[in-house]
Amino acid sequence: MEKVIEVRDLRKKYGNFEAVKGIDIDVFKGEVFGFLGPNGAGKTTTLEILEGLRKPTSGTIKMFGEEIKGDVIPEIKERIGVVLQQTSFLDHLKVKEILELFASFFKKSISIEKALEMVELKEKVNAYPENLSGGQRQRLAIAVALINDPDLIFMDEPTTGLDPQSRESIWVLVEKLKSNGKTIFLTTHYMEEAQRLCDRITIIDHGKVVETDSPEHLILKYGGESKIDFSCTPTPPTEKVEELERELQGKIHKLDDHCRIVTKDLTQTLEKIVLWSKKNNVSLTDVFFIEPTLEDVFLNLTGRELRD
Amino acid sequence: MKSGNTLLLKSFYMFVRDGKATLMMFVSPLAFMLILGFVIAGISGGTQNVSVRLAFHLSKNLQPFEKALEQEARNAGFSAVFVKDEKTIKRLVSSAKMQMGISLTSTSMTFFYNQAFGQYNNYLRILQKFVSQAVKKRISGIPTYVEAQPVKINRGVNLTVISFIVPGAMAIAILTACVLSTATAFSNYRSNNTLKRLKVTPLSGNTFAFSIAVHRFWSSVVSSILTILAAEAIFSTIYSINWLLLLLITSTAAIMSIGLGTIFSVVFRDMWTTLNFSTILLTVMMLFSNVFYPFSIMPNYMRIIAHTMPVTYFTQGLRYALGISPMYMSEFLLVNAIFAFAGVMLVIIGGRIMFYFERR
Repeated sequence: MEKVIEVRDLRKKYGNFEAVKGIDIDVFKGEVFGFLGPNGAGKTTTLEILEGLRKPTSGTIKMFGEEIKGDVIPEIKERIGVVLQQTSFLDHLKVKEILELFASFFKKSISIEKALEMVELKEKVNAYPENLSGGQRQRLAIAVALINDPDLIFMDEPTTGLDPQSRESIWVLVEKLKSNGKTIFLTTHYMEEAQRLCDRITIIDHGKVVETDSPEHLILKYGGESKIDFSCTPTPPTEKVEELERELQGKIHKLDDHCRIVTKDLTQTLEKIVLWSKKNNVSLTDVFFIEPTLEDVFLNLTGRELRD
Repeated sequence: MKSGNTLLLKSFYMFVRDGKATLMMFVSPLAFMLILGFVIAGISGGTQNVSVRLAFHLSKNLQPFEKALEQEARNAGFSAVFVKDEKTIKRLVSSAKMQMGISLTSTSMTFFYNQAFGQYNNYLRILQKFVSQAVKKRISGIPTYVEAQPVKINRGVNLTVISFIVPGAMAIAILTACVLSTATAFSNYRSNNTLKRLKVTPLSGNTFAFSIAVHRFWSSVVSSILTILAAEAIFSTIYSINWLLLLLITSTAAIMSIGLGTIFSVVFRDMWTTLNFSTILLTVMMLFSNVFYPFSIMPNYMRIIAHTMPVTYFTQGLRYALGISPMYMSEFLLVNAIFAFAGVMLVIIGGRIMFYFERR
């Protein structure tokens, strides 16, 4: 598979503090590559080095097979689109004018109409960005990033601070870009975002790559066991609960108003619980299955939570 | 080229739609001049006819022409007093009893003037005209070392402080508008990440810097012309305007000011620091230059400081273009060349560094 980005032993120091500690990354053509980590993990620093906004202390970066030495050359800039964490547009310009302006910076560009259609902002063509909602502004930022029809798009936490509806619309947009064959480098600290959008994920913590794999493999390898939460009516006596524990060969955790059992085999465990409830004339209420997530992966890999 | 043209057009929209920027560029020089003008006019009591008194000392061989000179002076609306020696002239001029003194021999002419008297340049011109005419008409036998140059100035001329102040006020207002407007624009673009966003495109820093500078440039030139016309209409200033020179000095000074603004925004990356520094520097420039008072009344140390201030040369050039202050044409052109070169270089360097600093 063709490598779009190849990073080796990338380091970035600020004085005595090393924000990025020798990381290796490979991003392949057409994939959505997720860079997942808590705030301050080194995600944005790494991304900005790749975008040409920060100087690496050491390490090598190749983009489209070209080694980046110093500033990113215009030929590479022609092929990339960037969505910054906080985008501000030039003041007093309308949506259409902003896109026209950015289109003029590149040799190749798509039409303004097409860009607006992709981000579903056609009706806002003559609006000023300050009159757009947060989600619309972010979609405009994406339209600006797409105006040169880039092969590679960098997105730095594109849904941070957005409401669920706006977030969903950005996710749909990213999925659309992926289906159009674009390579996307996405940083996020939202596990559900990474899980839904990314083909492969690199988990970064304290400036170091902890693990890289597909979300499914990461969960399988490091997510741990599934959980079943359930409540019973009437509340069974302690000896009956102990009976179930013996049956399941595991500990039942009593939480506020329900019980939790951790299991490797969800189906078999559920069957045993149902049988136990019938045998003891207990009704099962509020049964929930909790699958392991990237949050669990992160917790298991780093010993701390993603939003720490 | 495509990006340059589009950026120029879009930055024009940005400029004209930005009320604060247009207000700063167009209205502030006018407002500054008007406020200052009314204050100065109030203090100085408006325009007034100044009685010009000249003290003459003639060498022995020229004394027969005393009456002729006296008559000529009277005809010109001045009073001439003839004294026995140069020492008396010095005493009369230093005590401000006479505005000017002239010691005339058949081989030399010495002018005496009081440095504390701000408008001496005008008197020099009046004097030159008067003496030249006298020489032409009445005095024979004096060699032609007295050069007769026509000076457009009225008899019993209206010498007003406001005429002197307006160019200074205009210079400081244009400088302030260009420096602050440019510096705040670039600082703002940096703080809201616009520069960062532009840095990741193939656009060059210079192209961006020039597109922002261009609209500040033309607006300051237009604004300065409006200010002069308003000053003439409202305060009856009497200028002998050389429009070409006025356009030249305003344009080059605007370029230089924009260059300064660009550099300030690069050096002081934070907008408030940029603004504070620019304001302090402009205030210092205003006070330690010839904006409000001529060199002649400055103490020596202040003259040295004044000569390091760009606004001094801008004001001097403006006064020259308005016909109220002498300056060698070569000096005027040199000042303009330096302003234009320095301004363009500062914008180029500033534009490059501005984008360079976005890669930390």
